[in-house]
Amino acid sequence: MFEHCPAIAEQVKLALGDEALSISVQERAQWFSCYFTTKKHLSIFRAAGVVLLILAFTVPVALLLGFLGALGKASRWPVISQICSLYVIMVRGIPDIIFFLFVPLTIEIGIEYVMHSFVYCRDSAEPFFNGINIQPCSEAAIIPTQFNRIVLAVVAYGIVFGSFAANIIDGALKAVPFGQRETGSAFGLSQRQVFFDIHLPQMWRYALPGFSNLWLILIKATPLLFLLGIQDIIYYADLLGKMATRRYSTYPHGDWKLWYFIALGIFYLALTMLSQLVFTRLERRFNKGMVINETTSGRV
Amino acid sequence: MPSADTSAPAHAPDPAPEAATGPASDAAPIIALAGIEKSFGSLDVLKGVDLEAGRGDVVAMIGSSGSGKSTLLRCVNLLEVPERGEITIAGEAITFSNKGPARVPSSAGQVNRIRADLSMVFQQFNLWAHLSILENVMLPQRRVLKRDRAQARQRAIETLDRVGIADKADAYPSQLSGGQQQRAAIARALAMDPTALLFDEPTSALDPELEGEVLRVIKSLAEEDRTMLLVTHDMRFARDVADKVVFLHQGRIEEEGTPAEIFDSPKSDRLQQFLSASDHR
Repeated sequence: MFEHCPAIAEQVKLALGDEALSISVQERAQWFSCYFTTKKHLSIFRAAGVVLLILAFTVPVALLLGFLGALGKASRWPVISQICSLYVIMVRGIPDIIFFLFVPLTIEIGIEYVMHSFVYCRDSAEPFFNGINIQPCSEAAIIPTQFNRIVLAVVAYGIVFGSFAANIIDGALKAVPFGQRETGSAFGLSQRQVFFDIHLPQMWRYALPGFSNLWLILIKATPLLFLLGIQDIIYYADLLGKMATRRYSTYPHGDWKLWYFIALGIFYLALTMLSQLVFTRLERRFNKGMVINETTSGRV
Repeated sequence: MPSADTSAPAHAPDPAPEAATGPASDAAPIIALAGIEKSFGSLDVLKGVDLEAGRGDVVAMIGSSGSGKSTLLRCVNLLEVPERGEITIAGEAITFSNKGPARVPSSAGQVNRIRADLSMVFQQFNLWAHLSILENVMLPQRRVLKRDRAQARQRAIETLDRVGIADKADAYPSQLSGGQQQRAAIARALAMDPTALLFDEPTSALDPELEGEVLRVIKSLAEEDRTMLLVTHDMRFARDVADKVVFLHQGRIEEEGTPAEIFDSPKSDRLQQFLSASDHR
């Protein structure tokens, strides 16, 4: 399909060097279609896919941790409730960026420690920590592949956003009027049934605005992926936007960073607007029958 | 007592005790409270209350705000756990154990079983907001009585029809008027086929023009010889439906008797005061 590309590229390159030659609109279009499908350029599309992938996997992790945190905070066992309270306070009180650096690092070291001490190098004389450096033996060392980094990113985002989610869920669970639950008990429903049949379904209505907010924050936090060494869309936009000279490049162009960053802006805007649409639908669904702004809406 | 408990025993779920408790024609009372004491912090709300309701009795509890009548009703199905006193429902005594300084029912299973047998109607209706009226009536039947969907649905439609709002089955509670909501709540309670019904000021949250429809429903239930415990501010209604009226004052039963005794010839000063004050309403 793209056999014509080398020829087109050459032709345009020549034209750029020689003012006597002009480039037709058709040639321009062909040139762009070739330019956008170079191996180097395809990687920015793949990076966009990675962002979406990480977002998609972070949500369930964060929700799970959020529920564990929120329910754990209310646990009757003090150890669990304190750990969960600490989780919520700690993650809320520390800047995200520090967490994005800290969490993957600790997980990595933790896994390496376990592998080093219990799986691979039990006979090794070398200690894991020699007082100065952490030195897992070669079998135990985690190779920083793209896949490993993505997994770590999901875990890091999951932990940070799980804490925010825990707060939202905690508040939403408390917002469900007590009478609604008590009535369940009064009819002989067990605590479990009250939770799953009444408390949880009603909670969503109160949690949704918070979740919608959190989701937007999560989307907007994805540029932090570069902190984890993931070559994300920002990295590629910066790389591809750089001026490409005739001497070194098959597809020479000027400094196009501006255009690349505008494209990124549009990408994120489209993503958030689409999300808004989905959340509006969800809200409509969970709003069914629920009257919340009874006192504020429609009355002066 | 002008009761009508000679007519046919209306409802099906009737546990064993009748045979065991001997010769008395009324058998054991459905609800028996003895020496109930309950306090909230330093406030003693109930200071030793005895109350009995036999099968088919309609007992109305009256008294000024803060007299403890609602708390007493909530003790019956253990939404409030009294610090002292015995609760016996249809011959079955609720067992308690001590947990730290507090007394708690020792078996959640027993409590849930008893609650399923004593359906409650709340002042604020408390229909579950996320469920349609039909689903509201079906949910406790499905979860607690383990009826299947078809059975629960059928019973729900019957009881909704009974209270006159079968046409609202698919509406959500918030789309209904207060009176309709309360009737739906009554349908939900009826659908459990309970041994007794507990009403906690069922019309107090309603506009006067909506009270009538709910009162009519409750009155028709009373006429069916259902066992009912009723907390109310509405003296005329209490006189109308009750077999027995109990006047509570500051956590004690000040006076009890037939409606005629209570309303026409009150003995205690407090009751006289209370009645003359509520006439002005």
